[in-house]
Amino acid sequence: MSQSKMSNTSSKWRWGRRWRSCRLRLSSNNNLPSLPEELLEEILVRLPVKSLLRFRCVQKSWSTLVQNPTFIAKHLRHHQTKTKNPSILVEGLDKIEDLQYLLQSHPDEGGGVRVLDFKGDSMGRLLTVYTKMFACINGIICIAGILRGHYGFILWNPAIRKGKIIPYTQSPNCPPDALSGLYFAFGFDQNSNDYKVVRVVEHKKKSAENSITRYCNAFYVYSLRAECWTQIFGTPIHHNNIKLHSCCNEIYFNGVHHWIGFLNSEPGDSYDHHIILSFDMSHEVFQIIRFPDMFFPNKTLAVFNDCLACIVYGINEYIDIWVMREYGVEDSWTKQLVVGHLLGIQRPLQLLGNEEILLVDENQTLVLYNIGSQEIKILQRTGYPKIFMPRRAIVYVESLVSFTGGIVFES
Amino acid sequence: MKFCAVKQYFDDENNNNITSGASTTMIPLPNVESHPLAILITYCKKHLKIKANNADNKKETEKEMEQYEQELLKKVMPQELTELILAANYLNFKEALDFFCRAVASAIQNKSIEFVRKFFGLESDFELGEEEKLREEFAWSFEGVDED
Repeated sequence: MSQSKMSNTSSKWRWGRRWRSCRLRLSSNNNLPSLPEELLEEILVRLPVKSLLRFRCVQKSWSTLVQNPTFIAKHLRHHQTKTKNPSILVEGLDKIEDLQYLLQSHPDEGGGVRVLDFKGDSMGRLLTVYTKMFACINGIICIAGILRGHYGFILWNPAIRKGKIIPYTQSPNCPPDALSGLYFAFGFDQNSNDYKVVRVVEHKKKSAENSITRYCNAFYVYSLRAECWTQIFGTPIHHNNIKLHSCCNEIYFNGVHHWIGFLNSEPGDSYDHHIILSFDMSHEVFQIIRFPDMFFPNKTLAVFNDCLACIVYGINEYIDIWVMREYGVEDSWTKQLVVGHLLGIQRPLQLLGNEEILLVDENQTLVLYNIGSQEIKILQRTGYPKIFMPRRAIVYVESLVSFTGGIVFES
Repeated sequence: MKFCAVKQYFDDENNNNITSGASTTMIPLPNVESHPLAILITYCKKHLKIKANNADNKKETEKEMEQYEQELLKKVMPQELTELILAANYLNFKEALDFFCRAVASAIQNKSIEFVRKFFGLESDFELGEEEKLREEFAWSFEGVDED
């Protein structure tokens, strides 16, 4: 701060509380002023990941900055909030060859779609991918896989082309023939700055007396920090008979993962009460939220206007978007809007922001529909696998987040 | 709010109950050269004008602003951007600071290390072999870089 300059100017000019740090340092090479670190950060935070990884070699302080967790968080936040047209990741299946694909759509590249290859050299040999789960948080993609005969998870950051494998073995008290379902979730605990993977193991039990099927679920949580699995017991969920319905219609919202399922609370009841089963990543608690009966026949969870929402469809060429105005309050489900008239559409995949819906048409082509302008945009099939069935879609933003320890691979 | 530093000056004046002929008061800005200041003033005026013209239509404002910014960038030398950033920061002019930072980011995004060093007037301070190691770790990030 140039105090000497101040003595020359009027005493009316007080720096006071708001002090502008503007250190004009002359650099060695030329007479241009060099930037203080906080302004340099403002520039670097706006760069894509590839440039930042390269610029680590500019100077030592740049290398330190790019690996600094605070900067990484700032960079992620900037790109999450400021990106006008984020890219969409679509996970799906090639039914003929039984291969899983990940497509990335870049709106800036004229709506073209390209295949994202996560089976890099080292991983391709080890892993066959199990298509039960696909999620992405903070630029990290989480996929369930089978590694050397055991189930495992892959945490992969395509922007830095590095990933980590989390192995796990099937729980010992689970006879294979009673295993009827496996469900997963990936989340981030903001309180402990920890990534978590949730595994739900479902067994079927046919009760001898009345041959009613009961479902029992065991819940396990993996903490990336602790690098271990723990089982969760004694939740209210255990007293209820819940069958999760994994049909790619779940959503991760506000640090909570939401599955759709069926509830059978009375013996003799059939499983037809539709519910949302939610799991809070920070507090590690479950909650049941019921749907109104009129959400029929098909549902997909989404986020609209920063609230939990549900896309209801299947009866006609219109799609209803319901919003839970007050989270957790079942009475607050409100029909927010009706989208349509949509012809030739098979099902909605996801809401993108508050303005667009990503849909799948009868030919399994991805279609982007703008709610306000009612414009339809078909995402190009260049690079599309031949017979491709899209299943899940999420908004993807690049990040510098990386993991250490464990089995790390490069793609 | 534009030019918050200047507004702060007037606020401080009022708090002191000093009557000042606002139109004739000279505000000392020791850390801003006249050239960047002139550009910032023009930018600010244009921004306010575009906003007034498209009062309700936020999208139109954004579009027109983008067009103006593209035109402005053609007239500004890349080296001047550093001065503009410093000036915008000093004057607490957030929109201009965001714009010029974006402009610099855009200008260096696809460039080589050597270009970036020259641009910011920096020199490598790595030990022998350290830089090579770093380059190897993310060798793919050097692909497709613009020629100098």
